[in-house]
Amino acid sequence: MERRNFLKGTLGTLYMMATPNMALPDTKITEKRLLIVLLRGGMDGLASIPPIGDKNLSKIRKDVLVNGAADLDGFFGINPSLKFLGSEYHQGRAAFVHATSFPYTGRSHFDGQNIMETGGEQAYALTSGWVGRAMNAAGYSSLSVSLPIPIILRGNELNSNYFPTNFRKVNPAVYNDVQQMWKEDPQLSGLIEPMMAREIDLFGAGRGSTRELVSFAAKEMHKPNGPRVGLLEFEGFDTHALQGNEQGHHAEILAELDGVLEAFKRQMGDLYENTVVVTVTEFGRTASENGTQGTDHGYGSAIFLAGGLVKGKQVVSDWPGLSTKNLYEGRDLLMTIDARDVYAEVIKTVFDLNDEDISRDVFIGYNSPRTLGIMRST
Amino acid sequence: MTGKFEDLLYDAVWHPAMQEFLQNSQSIGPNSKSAKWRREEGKIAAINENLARELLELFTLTPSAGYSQEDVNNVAYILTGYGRIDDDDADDKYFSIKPNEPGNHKVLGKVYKQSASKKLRALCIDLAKDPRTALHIATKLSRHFIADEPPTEAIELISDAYIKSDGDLIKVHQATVEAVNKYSKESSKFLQPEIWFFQIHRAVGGYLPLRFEGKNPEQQSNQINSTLYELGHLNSRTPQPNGWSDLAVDWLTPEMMDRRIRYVGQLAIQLERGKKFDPILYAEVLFGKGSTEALFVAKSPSPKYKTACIRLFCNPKFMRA
Repeated sequence: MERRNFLKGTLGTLYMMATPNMALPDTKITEKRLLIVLLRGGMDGLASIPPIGDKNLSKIRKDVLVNGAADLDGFFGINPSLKFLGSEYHQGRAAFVHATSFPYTGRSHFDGQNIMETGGEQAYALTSGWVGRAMNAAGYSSLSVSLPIPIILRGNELNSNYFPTNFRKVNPAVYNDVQQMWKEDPQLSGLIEPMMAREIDLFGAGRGSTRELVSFAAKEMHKPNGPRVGLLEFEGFDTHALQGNEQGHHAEILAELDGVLEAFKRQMGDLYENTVVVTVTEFGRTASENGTQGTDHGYGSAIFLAGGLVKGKQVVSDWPGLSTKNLYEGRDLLMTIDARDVYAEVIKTVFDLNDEDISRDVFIGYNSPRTLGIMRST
Repeated sequence: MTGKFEDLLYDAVWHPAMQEFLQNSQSIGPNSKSAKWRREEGKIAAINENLARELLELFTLTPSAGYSQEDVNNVAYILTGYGRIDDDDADDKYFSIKPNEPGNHKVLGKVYKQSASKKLRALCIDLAKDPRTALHIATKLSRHFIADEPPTEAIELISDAYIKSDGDLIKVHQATVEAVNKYSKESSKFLQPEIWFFQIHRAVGGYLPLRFEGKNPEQQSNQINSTLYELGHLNSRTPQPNGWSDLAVDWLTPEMMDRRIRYVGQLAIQLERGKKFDPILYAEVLFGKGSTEALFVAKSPSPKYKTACIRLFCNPKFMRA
């Protein structure tokens, strides 16, 4: 019944990228790893990390009110579906940022997803993504496991995607032939060379569940020269109707996400200590429940952070409150922390970039992002 | 497709499938009769603005029109009551008065005072008439048929035809064909995988429903779906909520291109066995006898048949409209 989600559950797509670019000096190469998790549709921060200490919450929500939220810090709780993240939080390896968003208040999926991926001030102003540009600035080429490449990863000179297939590889002579045919074409030239150089062929490899893909990604990312960045994509957060609470649709996607992150940690082994996992969504949802036991497009949401590089056991928030006068336009959780501050800190840590790099390449023109203290000093 | 855009719009919006898809069928006006009854039972009664927002954003004006949240709310109020397929009191458009928000509702400065079941039709007519809707539709058509960044003249041609004819779809389609003839440079629009796949099918003598040589119907339909899946463009896997892109940049990656090559490689084996399709002859018909492209296909090295198929179907010209 959830909006536009014809298929059962969520569709997870996995992207892996940032293999070291051999042309650049290896001083740039870091052993740190990053997993970006896109939560498409507009994730409801009030249902995933409910502010149980705000007495207005239970007044404005009923069917979608999460019961039995496990306590995090006395004010914020966590949806019981997020078992792994909750336990990581208490072990100091997960943190949350609340009442955060990109500064976009238009409530459109198209525009909002474009902004969350390009990192631009306006939708459609940029054609590359902030993660892609960050990798470029740090000197990585990329490989993503996906069909096709999402905007957030674009911006590298050499960008490639990769996904297991049932089509058989053709012989090298055919590739040579196609290379000749395409070499003068402005759009097609250069597209075949990465395929010819590729060593592994994923013909018929396991490509069923998100967990299988994330395990595969983690295995690759675990290699000394493996990809530095992975990207995982979830749909189904556009919960206009029958959202559910600690059970039901929203809780089920959270549980799936939680399980996938647990599988990722297991596969990463020791390297998990040198890893950041961070979520990205286009907007939060209305503070109040709507007429169909769901929530509509809103503004402020929550960001999940996990991994050994995260300064865990904290919910970073400048809580704006849920009374009507404190809500954005009387209906949405206000944004009090710019999501770019969160991502800038993550990017600076993982890619060893500075504020100048951020303003020049990542969030263009965004000067001196606020340091929130969500990363361990490395 | 032969009527007016306002009719297409209205019929699409009240239709129970759309009502269910964007959950408007459960939306309840806060001051309606249904709302009163629900509150007595201790239940929440409110709107769901999903369809209202998309009516303004995707179907007509686009966010650039700068409508407000209040406009969205008021469209949602006008929409309350539709999609009631189980309500015996509902009219032929499945509209029931019980969940409908009473009163007049103002959208983009205009107050809709009609009786409850007449407001939506009036709103759709106004939205369809809006020049920003004409521009939106014209831009989409130009982008799909002409180029990722279509020339302004092409958009204007279609948009003018839309405005002059009051959204007459036949006139709009004629203008689109005219714009394609006038402004589409040869091979400027890179084909999405599905359209490319259909073009191959037409070339090899496939017919609708699409079939492969020598397979039973059940295998055929599975094969088509799994092929589209492998090519990254299976309709039932349309990414939600935004759908497929119409832009080449979203399809042009080594992996996506590799899949096309692999697919033609596999198909060539079947075609060679079927002995009905001649890629060299087809290239002559398509590109012109003696043309560089036709000669290139004809001169394919060994394995000749397979290479000829790849030189034909993966030819930069064949991959574009």
